[in-house]
Amino acid sequence: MSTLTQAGAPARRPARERRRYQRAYTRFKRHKMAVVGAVFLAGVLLIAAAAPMVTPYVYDRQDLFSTYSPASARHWAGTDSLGRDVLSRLMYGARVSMSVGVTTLLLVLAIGVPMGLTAGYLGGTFDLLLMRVVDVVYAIPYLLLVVLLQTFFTAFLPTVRGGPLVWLRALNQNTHGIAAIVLALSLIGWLDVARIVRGQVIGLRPREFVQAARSLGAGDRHIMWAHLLPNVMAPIIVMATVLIPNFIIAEAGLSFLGLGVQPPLPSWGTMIAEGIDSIESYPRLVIAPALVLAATLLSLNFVGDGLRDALDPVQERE
Amino acid sequence: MGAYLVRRLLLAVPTMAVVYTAAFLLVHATPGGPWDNAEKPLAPQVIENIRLKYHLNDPLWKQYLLYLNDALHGSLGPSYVNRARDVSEIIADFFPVSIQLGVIAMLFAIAVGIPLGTLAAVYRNTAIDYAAIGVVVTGISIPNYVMATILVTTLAVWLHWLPTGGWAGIWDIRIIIPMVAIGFRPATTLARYLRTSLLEVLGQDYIRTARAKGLAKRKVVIRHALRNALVPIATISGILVADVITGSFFVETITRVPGIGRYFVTATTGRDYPVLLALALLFAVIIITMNILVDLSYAVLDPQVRYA
Repeated sequence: MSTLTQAGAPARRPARERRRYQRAYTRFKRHKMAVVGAVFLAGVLLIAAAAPMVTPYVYDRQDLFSTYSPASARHWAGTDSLGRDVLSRLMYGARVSMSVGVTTLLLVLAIGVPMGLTAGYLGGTFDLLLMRVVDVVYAIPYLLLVVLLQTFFTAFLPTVRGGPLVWLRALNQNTHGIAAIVLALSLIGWLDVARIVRGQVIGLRPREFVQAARSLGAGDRHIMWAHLLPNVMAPIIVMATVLIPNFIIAEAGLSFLGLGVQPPLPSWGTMIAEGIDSIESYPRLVIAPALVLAATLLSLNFVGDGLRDALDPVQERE
Repeated sequence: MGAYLVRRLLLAVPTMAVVYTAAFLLVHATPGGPWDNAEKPLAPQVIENIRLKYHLNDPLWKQYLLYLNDALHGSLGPSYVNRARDVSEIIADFFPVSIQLGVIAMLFAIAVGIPLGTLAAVYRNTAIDYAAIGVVVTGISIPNYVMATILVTTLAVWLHWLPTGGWAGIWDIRIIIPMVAIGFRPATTLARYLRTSLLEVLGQDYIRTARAKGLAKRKVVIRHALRNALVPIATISGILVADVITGSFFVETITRVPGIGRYFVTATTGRDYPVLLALALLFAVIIITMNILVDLSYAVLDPQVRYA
């Protein structure tokens, strides 16, 4: 029996899947703003990945003889209060934002998807427990919880002297506090993923293809990973485009408050906070990171909308 | 309705208990305090005295019960940083400003969000709709701290129309920037949900009937459609309140409003953990109360909802 499922379904599915995603790609290309956003994001990602090689200056190189210098051939975006090159700092800021966004997303999916699949498919006590946790966490503003967790991790990690968490302490030190942010964001963020995946799975559970697989003798694990997961992929991808900007907003917010990335590593949030001190005389120091952050978030939003329409054509027709 | 209210209040108790336990454990697990200063370390005896004063040497369960007992009696313990004052006093000082600003920002959100969502739905797929969607997308993508800095730069620094910050009550022009910065995102959230909800209602038969009997379009939209479309909108009030609370952290800091949000930020960077714990509990109480009020308001707005 089980050989039937394994021989029948997976052999045909890849081709059909491919066609589905090809159609989605064609629909995505019709959204002009989504394409523009995708191109912009690709640029930001490229700069983020190659920051150490492409920045004209080192991000914390101070030049106290040319502080607050305006945009020039030497400093394309001018310098800040310590004479640091703003363009280089913006590029490194992209690296911080993107790494927080992407790593947190991966962690959150790695925890949330299996949890949501299990809770939705098996139900029972585990499902009930998960939903109670979601209820409680939703009673507290997301950012407030993140601030509490972040405060905890920043104070706690440096005190780790031995044991299984030493690598985390080293990681946090080497990443100038990014690890603590990612940890705080993921510890709460996965609940969102689990909740949405669970909802989708509960909708799919009574469908014929699941019943068919079960009657053919497929095990729970096989049904969850081979039959349910491919069907919740589209909502997961759409959700990812909503989650990444949320994580980026949270990171920049924490850094803005002085709780996030440790200076001198620049985050767009830190740069806005530093710029506020001199906003009356040098507003461009605030405007530059604010605009870059806003443009990145807008692009993510457009790409998200494009993906939603591309992957969920039913909703589009309504 | 009375029985329902009692049940909701009883259900809020375990939620609050879990919130308290989680926040308490988290705050107490966080090592150190404001007296841990690497450059100017205090004498060990001084630290010991501080720990004794705040019962930090007691077993955790004792501290847990002690604080719970105090909190239930309205005393939220002393602040680590501001030694002379109780956290309850600090809240009494700073919270009213935040409530005023929060309510005004909420009114701004409603005053902008409802017309925006209504216009977008009524003039669906026209230039008006697209402009409204553009505003909504901006609201979703731009965090309030970016909004606040952009407003301060343009309105205060470049145009000199408004001061860059400060607070002098709700009748002073200084409230404009924080009000818009906090209220803009809730306004767009409101508009987005209202547009969807209104589009659904406008397709209903009774709307066609109302039009068919000769009512003016404006009257149909306001009296018949909007009233029904607003019911599902009430569900998102919880999100809006949370948005206003977290918005106050950033916006009060940027525009130098002496509210509880700004104090919260000072407390986190100053490692004033009792204040952190107390404010976390305060915010949770506000959100939970708000959610209960929202559910009760259903009964008023929607006659189909009956609470047994």
